[in-house]
Parts: sequence; structure tokens; C-alpha cells
Amino acid sequence: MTDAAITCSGLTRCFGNRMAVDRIDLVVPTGAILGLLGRNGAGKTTLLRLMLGLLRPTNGRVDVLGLPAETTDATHRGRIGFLAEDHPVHTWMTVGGLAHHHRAFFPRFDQAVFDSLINRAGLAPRARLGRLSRGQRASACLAATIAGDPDLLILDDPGLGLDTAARRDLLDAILETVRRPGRTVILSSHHMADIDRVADRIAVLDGGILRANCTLDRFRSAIRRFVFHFDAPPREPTLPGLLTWTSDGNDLDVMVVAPDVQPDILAQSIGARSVREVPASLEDICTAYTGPRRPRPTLASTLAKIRSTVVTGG
Amino acid sequence: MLTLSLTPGSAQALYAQIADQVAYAIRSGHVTAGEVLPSVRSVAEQLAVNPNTVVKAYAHLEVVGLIRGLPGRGFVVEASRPVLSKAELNRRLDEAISPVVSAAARYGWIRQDIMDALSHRFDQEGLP
Repeated sequence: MTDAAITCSGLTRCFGNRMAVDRIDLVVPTGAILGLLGRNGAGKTTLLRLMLGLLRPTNGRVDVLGLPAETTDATHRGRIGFLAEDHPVHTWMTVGGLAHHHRAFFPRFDQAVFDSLINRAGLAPRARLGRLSRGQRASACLAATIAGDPDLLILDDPGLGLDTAARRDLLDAILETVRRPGRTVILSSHHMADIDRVADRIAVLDGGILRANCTLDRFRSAIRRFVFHFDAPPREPTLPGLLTWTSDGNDLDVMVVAPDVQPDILAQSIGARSVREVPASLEDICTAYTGPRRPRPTLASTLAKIRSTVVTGG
Repeated sequence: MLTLSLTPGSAQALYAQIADQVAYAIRSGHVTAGEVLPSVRSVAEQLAVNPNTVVKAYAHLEVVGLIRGLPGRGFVVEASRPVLSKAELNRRLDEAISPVVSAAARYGWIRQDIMDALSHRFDQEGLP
């Protein structure tokens, strides 16, 4: 057994002339919970499908639990649990039948775990999958996947459609999974709060390229928000690592990749009179990091527009 | 009794939120010297966070001297006050008040509003 649950080297997948996954080198250590982040269409699902061997790489390779991803050996497959994004199910199958179905593929399938998760989600074993709501279907699929006790658990946006209580169960289930030695989880999500709770590391995909692969704390401290004050209205700034900027009067509000920079030195370098660092939420950081690199309309200019178009009384 | 409440996804790292709240509980006397803190596992379960996050928070508190790890017994609250330089204490104070000052500019609070609110809170918490 190796220390890496997954090793991608130069992993590339094209669809026509579009690079969905572009020369990715990524090692996921055994026992880690990796949060996979990126906008829609960034290549997250393609990367996960490559890891699962559901897609063949155009170039490069990916090894999963010590074997090439395309290995079809049943014992090997039984060690990998996958929760697909849209929770596809056989609509004629019952909730209980889903467990029966999974048991055939996962030798360690634990009926008690399945029953307890189903019970918590308020699902009856005799309910037909086709008649469940999206969130209920997600809970049923999650229960079946978790109960399979896989060594590698791959979850593609599992929080989608779950209510607050079900999402909490999901997080508990993920944390419970890695408490057993040798278990690894890869979780793609748009829900930054969930990623913050469970992930050890994050990988950020942007246009098929791996743009960050680090701990969440590192990511959080590397991308910072500053408000510079100038003597005159500022022009477009030229800062290394600049992600987004907006100006408002004599103020310039920027998000910048600047892990180890003193704010005043930064201010000096662009001729600002003063600077203040503003805390940025994980979502702001992520949006700035993967969003388009252009100025956004400022609140003030938007308000001015609203004032000029809306007549207010009083 | 230690009650923690987190805001995941915010600007402050979760380990720092935990560390701050435990530090506050210790400094304000809600948790007293010699008391054993809840285990990493139980805190992680209670908050639904990665246990490594709790480990990091406790390690941080150990570095600043607020708690001490006992082999096989978990972490206990230290009796002595943390040793931090005057400059570091000032820096932390400055860091702690800056959000209040920016909010003051935003909401138009005056100096006295903040002083009054602060001294009211100190009274409530029974701090000198």
C-alpha cells in the first residue's frame, strides 16, 4: 500500500479541441479529505470521472489506490465509493433495494449504517426511488455509498439539494469515514462552509488547470483584500498577483495574491497614501481567485445609478 | 462548561475561531485552571469539523501557554497567565479593536458610544 490514494501525472482530457482537464499533477495522500473547488465547467466532474476510470485520459495518467484508474477488477472497484452529482437511480428500485444492489458490489457493506442513515433522513425502505424528492434521493444514495465502507470516497457536489439537517448528516458521515484508518475522501462542492468544516486540503480548478493545491489555511492567508487610499482617484493598478479591483472616489479596493507582503510596503509600491486590510470570507476569496479579472461595479456607482433611476419619497 | 459556536467559511480560519473562544472562556473564568478540556474528538463531533482543525486550535493554545497537553489525559487549562511581550499584547489589542473602529466609521458611532458599550460588557463579564 502506498502513501498516496490518488496520483495524477500530466493528466489531460480533451473534448474536441477543448481542454477539460489540462496537464494536472496532483497527489492525494491516504487519509486526507480533499476539497475540490472551482466554478461550473472548471473541470471538476471530468477530473473525478477520470479518477473513477469512467473517462480515459487523452494524455497522462491517474493511479487510484495503487492501480491505474481504468482497472475493472471487482475487488478493486469495491474499494471505491462514488456519489454522482445528479444522483442517478433506477426509478423502479426501492430504498431497501438500493442497499441490496450496493451490497453486491461492496463486500464490506454495512446494513446497520445504511438503516441508520435512512432512518435519520426519514426514508422508508419500501419507498420507490423514483418517487423521492431530489434531496431524499441524494440522502438515499449517500447512505448506500457510505454504508459500502469504501477506502476511497468520491463525492461530486453531494450537498446539492440537501436540507440543513441532511447536510449536517453528510458532513458527519464524511468525518466518520476518515476516522477509520486508511480512508480517503474527495469532495467537490460549491459550499465553502462545508469545505471549511471538513477539508484538510483543497485543490482549485479553473478552466481545467489546477491553480491551487494547498491547505485551506494557506489559501485563506495567501489571498487578501486591501483598501488603498490615494490623494486622487486611482487608475487601474499594476500589482503583482492582482485578482480583482474596484475604485470608489479616492479609494481602491483590491483582492490580491500576496501571502507574505506587508500592507504598507504594498501601498508604497503603488503610491497610495494609506492602506487597510479588510477580512475576506472564503467565498469572496474563491470568487476573486476563480472569477474574471476585471473591475466590478462599485456599490457607490450602483447606488448612484439606482438613485438616478428610482424616485424615492419621504 | 465550554460552549463553542463557529461560522465556517468566514474570514477567520475555523481553528482560530475555536482557539479564540477557548481562550476567551479561560480568560473570563468560564473554564478554570486545572480543568480538562473536552477531547479533540468530542469537540470535532460536536461542531462537525475536521479533528485536525481542533488539534490545530489546541496546539495554538498550548504555544501561547493557555493550556497544556497531558499524555493520555488530553489538555488542561494552565494556571499561569500567558507570557507575551508588551509589544505583542499591544499588537493584539490593536488587531482586536480595528473592526470596531471601521464599524464606527460606517455606522457613525462616536467615541463615547463605544466606551459605554465596552464598560457595560466588562461589567457583565465581571472583568476588572
